[in-house]
Amino acid sequence: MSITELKESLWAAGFVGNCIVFGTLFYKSRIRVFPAFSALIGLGVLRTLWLFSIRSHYRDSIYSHTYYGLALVDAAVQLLLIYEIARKVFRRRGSWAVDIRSSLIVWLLVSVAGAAILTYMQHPDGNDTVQVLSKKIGFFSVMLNAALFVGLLALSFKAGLNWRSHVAGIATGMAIYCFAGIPIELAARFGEAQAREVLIGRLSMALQFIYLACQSYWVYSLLQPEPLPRSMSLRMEGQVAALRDAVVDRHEPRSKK
Amino acid sequence: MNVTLFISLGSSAVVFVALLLIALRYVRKHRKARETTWEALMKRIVPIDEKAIERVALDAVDGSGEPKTEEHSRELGRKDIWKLLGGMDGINRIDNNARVIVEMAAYLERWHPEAADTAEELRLEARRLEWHVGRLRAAETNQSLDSHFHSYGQRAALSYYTMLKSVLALAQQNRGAFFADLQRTFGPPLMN
Repeated sequence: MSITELKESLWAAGFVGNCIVFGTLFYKSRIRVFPAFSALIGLGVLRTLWLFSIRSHYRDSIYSHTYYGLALVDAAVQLLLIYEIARKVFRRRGSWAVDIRSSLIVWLLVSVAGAAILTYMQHPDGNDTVQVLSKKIGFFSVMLNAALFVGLLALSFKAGLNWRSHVAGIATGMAIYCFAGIPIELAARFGEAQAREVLIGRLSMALQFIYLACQSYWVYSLLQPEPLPRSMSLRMEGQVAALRDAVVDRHEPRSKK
Repeated sequence: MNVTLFISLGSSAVVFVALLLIALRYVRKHRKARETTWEALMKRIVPIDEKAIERVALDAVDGSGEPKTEEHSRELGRKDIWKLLGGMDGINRIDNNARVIVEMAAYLERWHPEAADTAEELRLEARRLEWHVGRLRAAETNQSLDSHFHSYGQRAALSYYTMLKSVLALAQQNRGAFFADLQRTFGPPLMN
């Protein structure tokens, strides 16, 4: 199989994968539960169809501008997905957990500032402003997403907040994809222009393989039911009593006041 | 490679590696917390003198459970509070238990939705306690512990005592007779 055929196959596989993930969300009635994630996957499907339909009928510049324009929309929806995940983890009872609100805001500002500074320092190659700007926004997006994922992980652990299995599954896939995207973006800047073309092509294929793995993982985790709650057994009640005994050192029975 | 490119790629690479390491650390911690058992959490609790905690905590609130005003002055002096709580060693024990209780709250919230409200109370109170302990540690570092211990230490004791109350409430939700037994042992103060 030639490189071009492999690229085409990966593109097609990514499209089919997105259709399967979206179908799973629909089949398991999870579109309303995860609207941003559903939108991201749905956008992936529409983007492929759109680009495929214009590829052979329009000039390269139109295709390129459409491609980069849609990449910007994709980056915006990814940020919405981060918000959706944060909401699921930190906003359980209709309001954000009071103890981590300020930490969340601080981390958000630090992440945005850090990603903006790193993006400002990058000078990617591009044929025109749209292409350069799109590459910069793409880099900003992966850096910001990675930083926000790390913040969500750390803050939720510190605050003792759980990740439900579906949220954890979606976030894990997105985090792997973002983290894989950063070194690929950086590695693509090394070397001479001609060698870089080849490198970028190979790295893009590697990223596409990673995305296929993420899609498989999403389908698997979304098909699984949330773990059922356990009823509190007599033994567990005894353990709660033991907790009380362990927390306090009871020296002698105390009379009622 | 020119210097600008080297700096821009190098700084991004450093940030990337740092984020990756932090992410892996917390993924491992989350996984460990998910796999832990109630019994394992119990073993991490260290014993604390109940009577001392109760005395210090109740000195800070009036009969209705509200913080005392100047009209109802507190009985315990700085030295009494230091002695009853066992200084920073005692505070460290309270802090250890608070951290375990945060994990217990997560465990209860994960597996026992009927206990979710109590778990949230426990979690928030433990976080308040952590904050007071943090202030005490900062005071220790700044060598101003003498002037701050009675204030933050007493608040930490009150938070800890409130957590115990939450544990009792949890028992109450699940078994009346069991709760009555605990109530007899633990006494009525601050309990509704």
